[in-house]
Amino acid sequence: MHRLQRRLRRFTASVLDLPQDVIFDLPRVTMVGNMQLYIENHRGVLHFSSSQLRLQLSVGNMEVTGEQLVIRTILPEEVLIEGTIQDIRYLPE
Amino acid sequence: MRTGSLEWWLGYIQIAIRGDHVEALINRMLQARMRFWQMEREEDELMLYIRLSHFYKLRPLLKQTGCRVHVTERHGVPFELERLSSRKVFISGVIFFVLGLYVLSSLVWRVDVSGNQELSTDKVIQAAHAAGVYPLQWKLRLPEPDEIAYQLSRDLPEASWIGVELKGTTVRIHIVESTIPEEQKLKSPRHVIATHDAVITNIHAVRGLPKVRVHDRVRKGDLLISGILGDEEHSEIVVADGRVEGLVWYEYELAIPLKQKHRVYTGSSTNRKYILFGGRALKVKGYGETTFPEQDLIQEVYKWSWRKFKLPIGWMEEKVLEVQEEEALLSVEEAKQIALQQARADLLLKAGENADIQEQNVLHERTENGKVYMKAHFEVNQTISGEQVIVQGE
Repeated sequence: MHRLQRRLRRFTASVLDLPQDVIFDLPRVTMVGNMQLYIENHRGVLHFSSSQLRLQLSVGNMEVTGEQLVIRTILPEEVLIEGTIQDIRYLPE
Repeated sequence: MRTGSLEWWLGYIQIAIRGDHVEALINRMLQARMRFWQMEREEDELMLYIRLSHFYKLRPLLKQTGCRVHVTERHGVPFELERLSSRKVFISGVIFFVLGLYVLSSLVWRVDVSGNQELSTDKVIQAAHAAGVYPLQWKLRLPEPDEIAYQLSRDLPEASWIGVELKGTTVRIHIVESTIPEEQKLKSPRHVIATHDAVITNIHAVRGLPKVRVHDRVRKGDLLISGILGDEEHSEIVVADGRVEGLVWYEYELAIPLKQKHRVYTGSSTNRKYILFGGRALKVKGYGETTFPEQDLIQEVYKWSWRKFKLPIGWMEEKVLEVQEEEALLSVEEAKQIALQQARADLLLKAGENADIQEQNVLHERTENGKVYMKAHFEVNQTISGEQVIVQGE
């Protein structure tokens, strides 16, 4: 994305008070305690085991660590994870 | 995501995927928009549930990613059906039952006839049989109810209306009968003649030629209404009909004793009880001879019954009542009244209905040997018309 385009978007978002994920194609993460994690707008699974899940995002990766992780539902852009979640980290590419 | 009912109808399976590039497989499955859920890692295997139809599309993806797969669980309707299909006898039983029920319910099982009084049910059933309505006939082969009714009413002219109704497996035929006027008895030509010696008080000729008038005196057998009309040259013989009333005299010789005997209950009684078995009775209570010089017996029998059925078991009660004869002495006047009353009752019986006693006279009375003898005369207005057949060719 061009710098100009980026600045324009940020400006629009602040003027119109729009959520950032709509503008910048960012993931939206919803968490229920440490038991459920709902991630929208992911770009695929990089790694999945019962203790770690790594998701591809539009920019960078996301790493979820925990115990007994289960993917309850997975759709092309959404994923619902259950288990005991200990850590969520953003990893730049 | 919970396993929805749609998945259950379409069928779903749990598979275990093994391979080095499992994540790549998942991404490709997502791109292919497959439905899968409940994904877990178990050691080196990835377990997940997948819709049955999508499982068949999995093969090329497995080849591309070098993964292997095997099925661990099967759920849903397609698998339930497969399980059932192995129980052939059970399935055929279900089919046979449903089919049997259908076949049996598409037969006519009963033909009911109602509303007929003169017309016999057998005749109606026979006519219905001819119209194609009988037990074990296919309902499909029955004509329309209107048509059956039409055919039946053609075959049964005695009925003025016939309704046919198909209700389940029963054909109901309702009949309204036409009322046919009673056939009149053929009567032979006749005269009306007098049955008693009388004085005519009223004459009402319905048909025929009256030969007498009111106040005429007639003798028994006299012609009252002639059945021959016209003069001697042009005559017609008819059935004469009519009502003739006249005053008839009756004489009664009456004798009535002044001593009247009555049977009277003294009030003392004994009871006897029996148990009944069929035609036998076993006395339970009331042994011993009665000391009554004269007695009456009242019997009451009770039998056990259930609805219409009478059981041969029951009990019987007998009441023995003492009777005494009492003599009562009547006065002459009382005796006379009783005698006249008896005479009048007898008279009305003889003279028939419509009789009307116009006058009563005691002609003569005497008391002798404890009896009242009397002669009474009654004048009765009564019907005196009788019939006499006209013999043809006379």
